[in-house]
Amino acid sequence: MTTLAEMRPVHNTWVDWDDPSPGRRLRVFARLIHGDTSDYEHRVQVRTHDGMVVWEGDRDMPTFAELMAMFDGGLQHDAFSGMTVAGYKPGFQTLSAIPENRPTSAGLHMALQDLGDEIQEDISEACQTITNPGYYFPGVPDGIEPVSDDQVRLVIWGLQRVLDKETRYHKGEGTIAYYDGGGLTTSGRRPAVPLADVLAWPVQRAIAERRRLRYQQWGITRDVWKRQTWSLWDVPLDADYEPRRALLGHGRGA
Amino acid sequence: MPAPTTTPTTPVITPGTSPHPWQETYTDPAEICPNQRRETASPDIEP
Repeated sequence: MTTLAEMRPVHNTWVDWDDPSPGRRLRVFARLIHGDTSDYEHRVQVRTHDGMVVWEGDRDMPTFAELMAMFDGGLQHDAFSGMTVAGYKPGFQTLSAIPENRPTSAGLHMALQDLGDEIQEDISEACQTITNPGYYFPGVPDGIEPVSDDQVRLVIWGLQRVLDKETRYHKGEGTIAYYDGGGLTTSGRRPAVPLADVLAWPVQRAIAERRRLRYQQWGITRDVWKRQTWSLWDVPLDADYEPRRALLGHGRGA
Repeated sequence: MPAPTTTPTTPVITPGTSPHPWQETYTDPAEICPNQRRETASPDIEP
């Protein structure tokens, strides 16, 4: 299998969401650029999401790994810093307590897909405790700042508001379903997991602690989050990192 | 004569043998679409 390290950006095509290649920073980087062609014949370009040309040449397109090494410390270094943690959404604001209304969240920056996926895998794993109360789902005792009870409740609320938006058929029963208010319908869609109702408190706390750890693993500490900007160069290289989503076969009809 | 004692037992259901896996009742968060997976991370809430 050709990995991202050996692949080259393709013209106007983004890396597949479920590409299983290893490398924590490389996977983020590959989602920040795509290939293009210049107005001059036989010249190829690399562009960022907002259209900035960060490399142009008349030879073969470099690989993702070569480009990332070239940009680290090069003139294009800053093009991969100061990106917003959340994708653009009008009226976006941060929350410090559960609000009375129910504002929707913006999603993470597109290149932080792996971070979103790991949080989903944690929630999915936590749900094992619903039908298997003996399932071991530990939190994070060290390496993160302690998470308050109010923060646990806020995080679970935040997760729930999005899970409620999308229901799906069980595997093999059909295709994507659409928002129907969250109830189990006669068509067989499954409602969202009511996290606060079916997960024990220690499991809810473990989800919140793991979420804090996940953000940290992508270089987004609480201080970085407060600034709402992040940098590719703060994401650890972690060349051996492989997404659990790929390891578990999620998203590939497994 | 000591009173008879009973040993409390906790039923343990191992994965794969549960009669009603949770995925048969609820949507698995790991199966929702990429956009929703990024949104669930709730970047508007402190890590």
